Amino acid sequence: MIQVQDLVKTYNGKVQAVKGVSFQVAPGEIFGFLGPNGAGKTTTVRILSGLMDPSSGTATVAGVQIPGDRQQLHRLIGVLFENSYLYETMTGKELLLFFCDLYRQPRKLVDELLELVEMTPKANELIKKYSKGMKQRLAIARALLHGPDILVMDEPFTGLDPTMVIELRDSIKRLKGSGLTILLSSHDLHEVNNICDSVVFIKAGKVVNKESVAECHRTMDVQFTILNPTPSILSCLDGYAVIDRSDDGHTIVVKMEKDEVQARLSELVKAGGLVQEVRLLERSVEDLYSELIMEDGR
Amino acid sequence: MNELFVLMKKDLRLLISESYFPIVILAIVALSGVAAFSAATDYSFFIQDPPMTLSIADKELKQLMCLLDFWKMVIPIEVLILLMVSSLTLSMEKENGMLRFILAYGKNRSLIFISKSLVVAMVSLIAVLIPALAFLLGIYTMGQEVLIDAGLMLASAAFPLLIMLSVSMLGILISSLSKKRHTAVIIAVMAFLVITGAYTSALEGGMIDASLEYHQEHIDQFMTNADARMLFPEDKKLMLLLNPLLMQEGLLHVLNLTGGEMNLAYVEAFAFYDEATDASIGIIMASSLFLMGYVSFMRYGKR
Repeated sequence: MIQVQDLVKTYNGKVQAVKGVSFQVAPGEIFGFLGPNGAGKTTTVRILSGLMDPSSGTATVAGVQIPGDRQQLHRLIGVLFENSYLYETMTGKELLLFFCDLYRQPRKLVDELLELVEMTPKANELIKKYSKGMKQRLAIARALLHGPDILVMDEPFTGLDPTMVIELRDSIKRLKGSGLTILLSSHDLHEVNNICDSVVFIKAGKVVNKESVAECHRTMDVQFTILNPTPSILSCLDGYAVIDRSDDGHTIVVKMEKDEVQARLSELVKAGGLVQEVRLLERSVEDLYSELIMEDGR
Repeated sequence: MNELFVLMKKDLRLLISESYFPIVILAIVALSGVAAFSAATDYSFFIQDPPMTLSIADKELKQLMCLLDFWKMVIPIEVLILLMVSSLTLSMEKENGMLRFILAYGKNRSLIFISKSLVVAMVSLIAVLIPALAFLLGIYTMGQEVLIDAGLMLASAAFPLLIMLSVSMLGILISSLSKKRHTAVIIAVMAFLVITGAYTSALEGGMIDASLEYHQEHIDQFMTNADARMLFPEDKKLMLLLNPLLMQEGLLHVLNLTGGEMNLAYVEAFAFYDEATDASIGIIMASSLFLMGYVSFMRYGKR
């Protein structure tokens, strides 16, 4: 649904914000675009939303080439920014009706979308009285008004309190399964972990790694505490990446797939290993972030 | 539904819901009320304590002169109000990012600009109709007979309307050039000071220059309007030609107050051009400012 190839963006011919970013997003996927502030996320999102052209490289969004026909692109994508971009002196319903008329969509869609983002009870209140979370949910409804195939969200959780985050997350989750592809740019690791199917990490304008969340959850760090860690016993763990090892050699942490743990434990015991403890250390997006972004920077 | 209609509906809704809008309407109503009261009082005193026996024609003439004074009191302040209101139209949406947001999604730039201009033009119309109504109401509430017929009243409102349209288009031009609303309002106020200051100084300075030149050769004679027109310095004439307040002289024509010996002593009775030329200048000025604003807006965000 989205294919990005060697995307580069240079501002004023000097500052390179994006340095050859490539990734793919499958249809119907909720895709997390993660990175610290200043990593180049917003620039990439703006390019993919047709709000600016790349300096070089290409992207295809819902079959539309970038740079290319912006109007066609805007018909196929909905965009939600950190700033909700709403007319604050209108009511939520008035705003949606305005955009509905502007996009020439049936007006009954407004009620459906208000229901989807759970804003029906507040529909007739002025937007300036809404909380930031409510504004974001209304902005989602507005972004979906013209029936886009892709929803691009840039830092939607920024500035929200925990309740608002939960409400917004629920709204996004409800969109899952509707066939909509979602590109979610964020630095909120916890929310990305909760919502996204795949993530790409970007740092200093470059993609550091791409791994699906399912893949991330399939592998885990396993901590074996072995009382007699002889080389022949430890050879059962050969071939696995060693994440950590205690100085006395009794404790070793290796990375392996979940369904391999039982078999390796049996092998260790068969080889005469006295296994005192096995701890499964689940890897989250936070761990990946820590490995890819923070460790690299140290 | 027509896109222009949708945009206009939105722009009107936004304008009405802005916190400054009731203040603007209140200011126009209050200004109209004060000016109408002043004009009506002037007329009433004249009728109650006449310097001579008054015919209906004399009373009508006095009422027309009161109407002229009334518009001259209302116009400058309304110019300021309209400049400020129109300067906010685009700059506010620029500042909160909504304009860029809508433009980014392929919406017709021309229609967005036309919609804003039409809404401001509607405000201009309201800003002229309220005072016109207030004047008639003022005369009526003073227990006097209204001698100006509706057609003439409406015709007299045409030139103030042209002034309001011109300054509104100037306000939109300022708005399309400004990124922040405060900047736009400050520029609008400065534009107002320049317009009023330049008009007064050019007209009065030009008349003094013309008069000095005239009296070098014609001692102890009155300078006629024709003489003044001929001797008026060209640079000051150009300054006036570029000033929307010049269209005030159209009022003199409509109210038939330009000719005759009676008015020769008044600078206000002096007019450079005839009614049609004044109207053409107004239309050209409003259209040019509209086009300049349009061109500026079409370039917005494309750099």
